[in-house]
Amino acid sequence: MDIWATIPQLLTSGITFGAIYALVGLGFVTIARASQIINFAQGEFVMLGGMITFFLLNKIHLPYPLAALLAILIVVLIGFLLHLLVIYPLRKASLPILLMATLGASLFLSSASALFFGTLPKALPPFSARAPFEIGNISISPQSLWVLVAAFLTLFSLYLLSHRLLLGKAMEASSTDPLGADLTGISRNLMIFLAFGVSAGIGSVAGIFITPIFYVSYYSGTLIGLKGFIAAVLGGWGKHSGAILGGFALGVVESLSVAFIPSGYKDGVAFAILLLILYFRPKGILGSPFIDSRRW
Amino acid sequence: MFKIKKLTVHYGPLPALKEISLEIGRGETVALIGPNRAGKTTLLLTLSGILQTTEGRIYFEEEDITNLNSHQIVSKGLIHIPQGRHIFPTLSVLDNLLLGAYTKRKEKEGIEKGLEGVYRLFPKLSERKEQRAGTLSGGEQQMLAIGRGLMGRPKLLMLDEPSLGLAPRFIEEIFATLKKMNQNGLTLFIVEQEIHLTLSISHRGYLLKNGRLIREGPASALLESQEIKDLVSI
Repeated sequence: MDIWATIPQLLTSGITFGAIYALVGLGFVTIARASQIINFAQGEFVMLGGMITFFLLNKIHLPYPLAALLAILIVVLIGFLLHLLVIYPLRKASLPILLMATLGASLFLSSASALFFGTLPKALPPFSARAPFEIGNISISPQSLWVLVAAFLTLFSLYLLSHRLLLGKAMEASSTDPLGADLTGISRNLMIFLAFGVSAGIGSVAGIFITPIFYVSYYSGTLIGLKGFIAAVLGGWGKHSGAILGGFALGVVESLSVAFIPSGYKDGVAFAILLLILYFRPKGILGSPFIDSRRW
Repeated sequence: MFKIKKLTVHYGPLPALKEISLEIGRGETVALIGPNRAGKTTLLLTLSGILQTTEGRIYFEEEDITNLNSHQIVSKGLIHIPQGRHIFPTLSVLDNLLLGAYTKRKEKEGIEKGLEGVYRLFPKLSERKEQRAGTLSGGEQQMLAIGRGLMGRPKLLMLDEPSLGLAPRFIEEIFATLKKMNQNGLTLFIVEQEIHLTLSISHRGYLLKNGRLIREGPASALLESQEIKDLVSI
């Protein structure tokens, strides 16, 4: 078969992947805008979103929308707890220590999930039970469209939070100038606490929307978290539009690579992109307000 | 209005400030002068709740504010404009000013009035209110830092080296504005290396050396003192 014939289909699935990476990237950006912390437990929020919804739906037998909503609330709570139990006690520690702590939290959350929900992969039913749309010889699953909708709604609400509300600006201020924020009476700990909640919420939304497409298992958070991180760095660290652009770029490139190289290398492509961007343009495609280009 | 009693602060294991006692009356401009590393910035950071005290008490309007959080202190009207300005570079000038009123964010009318007041003092900020603060010149950033401080409606404004890194004409402009602010009734506590200029707009001054206050008195008397002359000649 001609490889060019598969391109439109790969492009379509790349866009779906891209929307997922963008959502996960937005979670990273939310915390980065409030605190400079890179939260490597971000992927676990995604995993937990899917996992808890599955549990509420199939074990507690709640209706689907209620299960999803409750799962989001529980993951937000976990985000708050992560801040209170791990980040807040380390508030005077240096950044590398905080990164280590989030890595530790990530391991803890994924192991806890294995103990609690078991190690078998799980899938959620699609939101709308209808056949995929066929356009020419491309097939698009309705769930992919749901993922796109989720990504754009999340972006829109984050935009409102960060650029319209004083709260979002106060969060950004705590990140860009901690001392300045303290001296204007902004409680930085509260800002970071809220950012962890919002970020956990975004992660869980991503998890709920993608679990009907992919299986979720206790270890799936790590890889998706890293991909989201790459998306956020690629587009421009700390920028919402950057995470969205980086997510789609990563998804599409990764997906198209399958046409040219063995699909086993697909995940490698993402990390190759990360290395290239860090070498040649560390502030990302759109530039980053938090990375001073003069430092490179 | 403001009183410090026998304040001692440790920076790590070493004492940075030893038994500092000073007083600032309502409507005064008080200068704190001293060589580098004397502990001036440490004192201001302690007064605004960033550093913890080891011993001693701080009173603001008869209330004990020792070791309160920085946001509690700001909301009481004790506002510190730090050395190096510390404005928020990624946000617009207007957003910086609005965040200055963060502890009073519910009082819309006060914020409007505050903005008008700041723009009257610094018309440049009004022209540039949509601009990102990081793109302002050094002098404009200092104006923004002072404007942001004023937005918190201070009863006592503490300034740490407002002249640092500025061109001479900006320094004079800033000090003229400080004098005007004091004439309008604002109490000022200024930490400076620009000794003459600072004492010329101050009522009283203190001299800090090696973490201790070694002299105090009316600004005119301090200007004549041997210690100040020694300091200037270094």
